[in-house]
Amino acid sequence: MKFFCLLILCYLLMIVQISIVPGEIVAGSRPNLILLILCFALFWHRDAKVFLWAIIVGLICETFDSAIPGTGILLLTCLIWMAYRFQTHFQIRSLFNRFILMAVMAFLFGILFQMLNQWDAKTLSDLNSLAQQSAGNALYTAVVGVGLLTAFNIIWRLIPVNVKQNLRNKTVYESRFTH
Amino acid sequence: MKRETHSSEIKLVLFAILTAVCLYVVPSAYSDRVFNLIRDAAKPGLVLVQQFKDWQFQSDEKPSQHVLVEQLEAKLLEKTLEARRLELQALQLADQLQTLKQTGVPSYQTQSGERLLVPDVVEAQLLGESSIALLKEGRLLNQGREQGISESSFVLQSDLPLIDLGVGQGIKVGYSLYAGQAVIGKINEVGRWTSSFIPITSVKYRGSARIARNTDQGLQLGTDGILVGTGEGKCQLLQISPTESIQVGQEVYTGEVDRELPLSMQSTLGQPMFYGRVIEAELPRGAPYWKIIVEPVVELSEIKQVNVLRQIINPRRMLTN
Repeated sequence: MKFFCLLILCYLLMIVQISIVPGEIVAGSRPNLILLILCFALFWHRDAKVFLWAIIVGLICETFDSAIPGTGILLLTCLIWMAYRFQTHFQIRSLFNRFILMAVMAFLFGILFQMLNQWDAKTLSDLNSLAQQSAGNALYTAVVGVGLLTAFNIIWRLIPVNVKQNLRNKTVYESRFTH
Repeated sequence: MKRETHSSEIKLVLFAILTAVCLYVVPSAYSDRVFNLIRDAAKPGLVLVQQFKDWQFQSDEKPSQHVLVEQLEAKLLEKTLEARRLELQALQLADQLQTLKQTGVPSYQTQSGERLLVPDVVEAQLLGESSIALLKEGRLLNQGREQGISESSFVLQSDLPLIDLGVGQGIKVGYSLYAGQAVIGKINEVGRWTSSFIPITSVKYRGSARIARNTDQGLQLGTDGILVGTGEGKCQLLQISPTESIQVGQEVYTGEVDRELPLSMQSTLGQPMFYGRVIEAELPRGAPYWKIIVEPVVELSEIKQVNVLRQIINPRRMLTN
């Protein structure tokens, strides 16, 4: 059920990313909504299924960025593996930590994905501007991600049926915190 | 349990890396198939968004288009009037040039003096049917015959349209009425407070008129004819000789001299005014004149306010005297 819901969300965000985001550029930065799906999968699944999402999101990124086949999946798998280890170790749940995690993920993916696909054209000065651009995009992505997480929380609270309870995966780690 | 989770984690990571490597290694024809599959899956959603954007764009665009059309129409009207004014100005200058060619330029310096009679235009309101009815019933003014108020004070006997100016405002029989540059009619009877006028489409109307032709040298006016109303919302231009070149669409202006009026009542505007356009022009075999039907540029029902052209003694001349 959770996988299916994420799949629908993934499709919606993919459409938004392609058709609406190009017109919503703020200070030259734009969010990476596809990457947010991977982050949401990490926050909500909390198990190894997140690596399947890395493959899906990687494929989408490669398709619409005309990247070298495999680079997106490889990069995202590496990044999400680190994030997964980080999350399981520190039991990340607060909104602020998630914001940081999304920003770091978006920044690293932005800069590394560009470098992998356009490495020959990049000089040191280009790398500097690329880092600035990626930082802007990462910040924008994290802000949108936090906004979406908050919106989902509000929606879940408003729905009379306890969706969260039904969607909870009992086989994974338990939170140390109470909220 | 934890070991199982860790094991599945390693397996899935290896699977993901293997997928990436496979995509990198396999020929692009195969990897492109996967990418095309994703593109095809995204297509319905993108089409839907595009349709929504088009619909939104159309609904936003309609009012702005309407406003733009109105603005352009207003601009066109303004430019048309400006062009007509310039054409008439050019015509006047051409007349002056022609006169100078005939008489020669004086070798001494001349100073143009002030004209004794100058045109003076006053605004008048057309009285509607209800206002005329009230005046006829004597309810509008609470005054009786003792004060000398009678129907003749308002010129109510005739069926002709009325304006709200009379003797007190210096209105005289024969004065012309205009709406902008278009001729509306001429004063027929003057009362104390109101005056009746003959619209140009009335069978009672007669006025001097001439046709303007667009030539290489600009607008040129033909010889004077007589414009009479047909009584059916149109006018007929009489006494235009067959030597004149007449075409449908040509503009009809007031004549140089209105033969129907005494000299003191001739227009002092110094420029021809607009009657309308030729809509029918026929020259029957052996006929001495053209048969020309003219459509007035404005209808009386379209206007509420007119200008009456009267002549006054130049105030500057009076001051200098």
